[in-house]
Amino acid sequence: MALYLHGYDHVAMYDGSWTEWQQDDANPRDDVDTLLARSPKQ
Amino acid sequence: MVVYDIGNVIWAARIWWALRYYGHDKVYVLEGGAAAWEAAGKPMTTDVVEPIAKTFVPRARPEMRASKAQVHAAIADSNTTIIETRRESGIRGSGGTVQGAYWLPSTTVFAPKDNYRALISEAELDGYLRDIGVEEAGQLVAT
Repeated sequence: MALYLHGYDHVAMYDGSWTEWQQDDANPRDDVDTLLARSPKQ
Repeated sequence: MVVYDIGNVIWAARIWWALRYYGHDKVYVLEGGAAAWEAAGKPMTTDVVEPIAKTFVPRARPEMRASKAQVHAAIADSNTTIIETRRESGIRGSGGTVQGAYWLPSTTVFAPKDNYRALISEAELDGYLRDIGVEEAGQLVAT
């Protein structure tokens, strides 16, 4: 909602869940430390 | 249509998204929810409302949803940024995230204000998005 409110129109929400994503090895993933290292500190 | 929750806006935003997805254009979230409303001395009631029935014809906006195949495509598309919105504890407990995602937890866009959580300023949000390489022309997928 915040992204739309701020004018970002090209936003889509994944039509699934992490639980479903991780059940299939064909779905690529990162571990949490890789995610945090890539992302600016919040 | 105005939607609200207790005050953190998370669940009101979820309903807002669903109504927008189904094509309703005039949906608004009450900032601060019931907490801010009550604190401002606005009228509250415990009466059960009997709404007048009306017909709403859904016109879905499929562009607001990303399928699994689209997330796969987004992983390989440098013009699309994938955002992981869960809290760190939730991600750790579940064992990972979508490959290539950036972390922008949903709580980032809110800041304490009086007795509720208000949206941060546009400049602050733009700062967060710039930090993860997003430009307005780009695509975003939130997971």
